[in-house]
Amino acid sequence: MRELVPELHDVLKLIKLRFSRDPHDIHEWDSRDYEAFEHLLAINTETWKGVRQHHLGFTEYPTEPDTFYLCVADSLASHVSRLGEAGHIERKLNKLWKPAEEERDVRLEGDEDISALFKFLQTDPSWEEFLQKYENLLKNRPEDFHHGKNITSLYTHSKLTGQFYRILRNNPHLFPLLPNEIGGKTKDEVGNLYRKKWNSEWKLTLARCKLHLLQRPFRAKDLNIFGALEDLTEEISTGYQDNLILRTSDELLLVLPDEAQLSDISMMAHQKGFWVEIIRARRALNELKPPNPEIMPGKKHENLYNLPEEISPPICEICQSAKATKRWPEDDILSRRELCPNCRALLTQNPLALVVDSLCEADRAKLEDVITEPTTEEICEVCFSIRSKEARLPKLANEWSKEAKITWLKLDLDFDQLEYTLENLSGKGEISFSVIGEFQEDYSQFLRGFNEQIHHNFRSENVENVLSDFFCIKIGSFKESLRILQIYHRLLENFLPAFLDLEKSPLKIAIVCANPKFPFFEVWKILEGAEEDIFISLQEGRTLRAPIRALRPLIEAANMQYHKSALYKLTRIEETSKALAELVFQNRRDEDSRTYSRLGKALRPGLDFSSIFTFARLLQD
Amino acid sequence: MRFIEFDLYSDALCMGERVKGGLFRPCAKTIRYSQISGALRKKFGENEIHAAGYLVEENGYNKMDYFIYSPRDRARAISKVPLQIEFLTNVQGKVYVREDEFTAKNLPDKFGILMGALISKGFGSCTLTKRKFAEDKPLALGTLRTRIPINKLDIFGIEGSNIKRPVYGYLFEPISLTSGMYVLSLFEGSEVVAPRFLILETKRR
Repeated sequence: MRELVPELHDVLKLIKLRFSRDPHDIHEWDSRDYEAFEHLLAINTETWKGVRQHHLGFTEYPTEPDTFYLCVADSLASHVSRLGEAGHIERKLNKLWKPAEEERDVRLEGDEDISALFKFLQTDPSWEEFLQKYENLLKNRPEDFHHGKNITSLYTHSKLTGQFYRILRNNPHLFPLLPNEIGGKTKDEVGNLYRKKWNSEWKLTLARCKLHLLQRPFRAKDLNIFGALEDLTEEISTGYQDNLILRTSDELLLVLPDEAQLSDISMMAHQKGFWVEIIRARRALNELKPPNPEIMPGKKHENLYNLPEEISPPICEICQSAKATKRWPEDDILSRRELCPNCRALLTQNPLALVVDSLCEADRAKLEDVITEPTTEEICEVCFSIRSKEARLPKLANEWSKEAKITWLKLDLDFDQLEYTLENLSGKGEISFSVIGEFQEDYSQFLRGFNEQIHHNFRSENVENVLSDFFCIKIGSFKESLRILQIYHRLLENFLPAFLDLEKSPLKIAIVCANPKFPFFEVWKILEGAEEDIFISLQEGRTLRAPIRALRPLIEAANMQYHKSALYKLTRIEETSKALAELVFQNRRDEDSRTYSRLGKALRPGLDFSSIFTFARLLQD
Repeated sequence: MRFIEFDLYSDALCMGERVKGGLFRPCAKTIRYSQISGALRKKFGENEIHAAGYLVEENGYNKMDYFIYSPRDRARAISKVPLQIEFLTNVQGKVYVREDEFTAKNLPDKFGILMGALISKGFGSCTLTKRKFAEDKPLALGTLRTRIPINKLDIFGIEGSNIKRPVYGYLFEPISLTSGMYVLSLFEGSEVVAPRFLILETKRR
């Protein structure tokens, strides 16, 4: 027999009985419903035991460690138990960031469908097997039907219950529970035991880990560090899949049984060229406050580097945190290319730039692509291995002309702002793990959709994916970068529409327009410093900064027709004096005042003058 | 412990960081321990001078500029690949020198030093003007404004247990005229409990 599948504990929430109000406890079913399905309810599996015993409030209650762990995991993963008074019944999934449009009860209703479910449960299915049949239903059925509590899906709740169950059950030394503590006890005694474990005895660590680059990427090949970042987040997510609550391209929210795992994560990060910023708090289960350990009592904030006390020269020129033991490009050439013994010896002892003229003709031809490398760089093993990989952005490195126009596009999810936003949207001032889990589902879908739309709109041959939320796009003119805003708006409308009306959005979009020769570390510096909801930077130092509420007006303004000469005049005046440009922009007697007043009407007060002038500059391209 | 506070002024200063990609040399935006202590030691011929500082954040000062420099290889009669160098103009900073018998007696009220890179090209001439004395006590929580090697933190009244949220990097420490080591150091941006003059104090909520 299969072990208990915790994700299926709420499977009875998928059915709508004809007479019984709440199908959760079979003992409390209306006798007419019971008689209709009695012959199918003899399910002899551990999972079925979990279905019947995971609550303390019904006739059946946990009588053995596994069902007790399930009961605790269910509470941790529930949005419902954390909130107060129930509202009216509302049978639709009403996500905080995307309210449902119409009421739709998706539960299985007919005898045939309900019987099929019970028959399937008799086969003792795994979670994956169950999903194949009922995933859609789980995703559309709220965890609870009451207004204000119907904000998370049964799918998210079930998945999280599975995660918490395994964290508790797989660490008996941290969450001890002896069979005699629970076996043969009354419901009240088990209830007391639950409160003891929940309120004080059992503790979990909530940790927010942000991965930072030790490197400052400089050359196109250094962008391979983002490949390493992707591998690292994937490795952590796979290794800690039961602990992972929320994940972006460089940040993870984890629930850990103890804090030893954080050293492992820090070590994994260091080996790949990163350091980790960790905010963590270890508290009793009733005191965990997702998603932000920063607001929990006893929180600790630390940066884990794993750095040596001293490094004898030379120091790595890229990460500056390890001894340089390799030369670039010489060691790369020597390890990969066939050279004659003479040239090999020359290159072993000298920098490439100094011996180019002394190389034999055949070897010089072989090294044509690297001969232009200006200098030798001394770098460490980690940076060498990252740089030696295939170029992360081959089109940017090899295909796109140096005169092309490109746009760097980065989406960023601000954890602190997310917490604030979700608290406000819920109106309860408290966020549960299930709300965060639900958001993760939609955020991942949003990113996938955004990715598809970017590739579709700009054509894949013009798009390089640096990360799942970081792109490099070749465009015909910088004005085209405004199309990105249209895509962004469309996707937000589809997946996270409530974000469009916020004062400040947790999701930020930053766009840097440049040409391929513009040094990447400058782009990265600009992207890292962008804090506004919408941020566009032009190479000449102009920036557009706008709140998310200005997104619609920006798109509308981008689709209007303007006199190009008026826009040109404005930006030229601004180059001399911003104050003068402001005066001209507001002067109703100016010959171009009609153009300026249309722009002003569309964009004020969301955008300041400097941002409007940047917008005007973009429109001219 | 007491520190002597100086105002530092320079027309153009290049406190170079390590060259990036063989093409670009960024400029540090603070006055690190190794740089100012080294410059003062050279000026006064005394190895036990300990100082650190930072740049002031006032309008008009410390403007960033760029300089293209193409060193000439005289032996091969060719110019090397041009290097883009970041530097600061109209530099205004604060320097704190630990007061001891030597510094109390020998540091004048106003004097000049040479500091940073490209001195032969006219960069790095600095004037230091004595302002007042600063005490290391009381300590306060805040963001460090300079770079100090870990093994020199005690000189500045920062204990290991007072490093709340470090930002690490490496500073070069000479061992002899021709050699040295990179030593683990606390960089600007670290959250520490330290003398007030070295930090931007964290506002209490």
